[in-house]
Amino acid sequence: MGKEIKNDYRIKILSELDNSEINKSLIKNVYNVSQKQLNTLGQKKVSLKKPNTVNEVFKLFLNSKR
Amino acid sequence: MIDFKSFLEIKDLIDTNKINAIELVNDVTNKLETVGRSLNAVRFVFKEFAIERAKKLLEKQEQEYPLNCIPLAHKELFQRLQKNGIGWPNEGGSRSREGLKSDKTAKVISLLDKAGSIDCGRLVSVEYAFGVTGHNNYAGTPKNPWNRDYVCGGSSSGSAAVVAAGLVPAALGTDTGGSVRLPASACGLFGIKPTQGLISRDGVFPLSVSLDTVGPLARSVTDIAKMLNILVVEDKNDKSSVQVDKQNYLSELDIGIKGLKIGLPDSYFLDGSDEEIRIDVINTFSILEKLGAICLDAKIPNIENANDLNMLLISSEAANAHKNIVLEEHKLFNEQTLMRILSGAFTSTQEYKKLLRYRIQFIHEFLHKAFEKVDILIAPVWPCYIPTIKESDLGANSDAANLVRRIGHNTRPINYLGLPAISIPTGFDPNGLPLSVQLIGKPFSEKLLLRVAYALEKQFSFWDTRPDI
Repeated sequence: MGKEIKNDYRIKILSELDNSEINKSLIKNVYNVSQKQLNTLGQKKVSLKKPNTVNEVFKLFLNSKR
Repeated sequence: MIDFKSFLEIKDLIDTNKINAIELVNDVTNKLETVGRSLNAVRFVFKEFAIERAKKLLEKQEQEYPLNCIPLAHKELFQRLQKNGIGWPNEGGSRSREGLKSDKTAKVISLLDKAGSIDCGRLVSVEYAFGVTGHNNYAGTPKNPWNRDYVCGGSSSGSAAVVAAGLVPAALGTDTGGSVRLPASACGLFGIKPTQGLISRDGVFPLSVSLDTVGPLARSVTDIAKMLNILVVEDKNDKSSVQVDKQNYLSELDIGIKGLKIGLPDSYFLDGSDEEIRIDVINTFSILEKLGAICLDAKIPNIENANDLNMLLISSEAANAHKNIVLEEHKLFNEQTLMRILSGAFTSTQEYKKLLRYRIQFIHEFLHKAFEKVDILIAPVWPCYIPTIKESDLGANSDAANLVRRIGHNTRPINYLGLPAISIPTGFDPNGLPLSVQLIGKPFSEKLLLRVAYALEKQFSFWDTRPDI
């Protein structure tokens, strides 16, 4: 998910949606749902630096239980 | 011929020459074409391929194959490229991919081949595996074998319908937000969503690279265990694949659950489910106690946001994985799928990175708190009774977003956590549709989950009753 591709994609999508025959109220709904979820994410604080992967979390947890 | 028979029962019939493998394949493929299609559950039947395969297996006379000559069919997301270069359709349940073919064989399909099974075809998936009710106006909306007015749930809807109709003993599905457990549950099956990384996704049509998992649906715990024995292999072609100690998932199924600590979460799952569903979970919890488990209230961290963050991660990754086709062919998508994929297009790279980072932190916190005093958690699968096809066909309107969110209330957080979970049929609702619970375990605790599921299977004997096919 490179930044340039992603930004380019967002612009393309928004322009494509603007020009599409898709009901604009549906697009508004989608945008609102997305913003709500992104706001939820925005409120989260990330403090844990490590581990880096889900599997590393699993390993740490299982080792702590041994 | 093999209606409702288990792996072991079919294998016995084959090994003792009571069934000819070719006749068996004929029977299964004919029933997929008739009964399976009448349920809107079947996409593609490959009868010639299956018969050729049966002939080759007969020539080998290899009774040691764990699934010798057993006919199977799987969700249409699993690719197959035949040795003669013919690829099976790879449409992802979508008109936007009509005519596209497989360019490889999924690792799990190769493993089932090596185990001696006979692949007979592909079963309906919700478009791009992105839906919880099972509606698909291109590939078909599977009807629930217990009552054809009702949904099978999604997205592995065809797999659930065909196994519940007794046409094959098991089928593969995929689970990114509940897509094995919801249909398994709606159709009275056992369905396992394995620990993230346990089963390869190589060659499987992707929805979310972080969250997709592959799992079997079957009518018995023993058949699920048998599938896991075959499917759990490290695969270098899947970056999430992990190496685990070789286990025999069939052993120790029947040693009971005395002393196991099972927790009923004190918040979230029951709070978000209807009264009747809560009662069924609490009843099952009491049964586990009678069977010798130590049943406790489990304190879990606040997972209220895990449903939404799981949906955001799925849509962000789906939007990225399928960006070209969404831009070029958006008119060919079901409206609901298109809207859900598009909702991920607004996520920036920074937000995506935070989403992944926060997930790791969240899993870390959850594991240490939720499993401090218990081995397994119990929760509902569906938060409500199974809806009819008609009442849950909401397209892309705003009610649909609420319904989609609600149906995945109990399943999506488990994908977000990457943990294993198995759905277990417990009885019937007043409409004659199955009820079920899910057991959620620590990472890689599938063997323990199967042991508890087996104890409940013996208790409920759910499959003593069969749908009228």
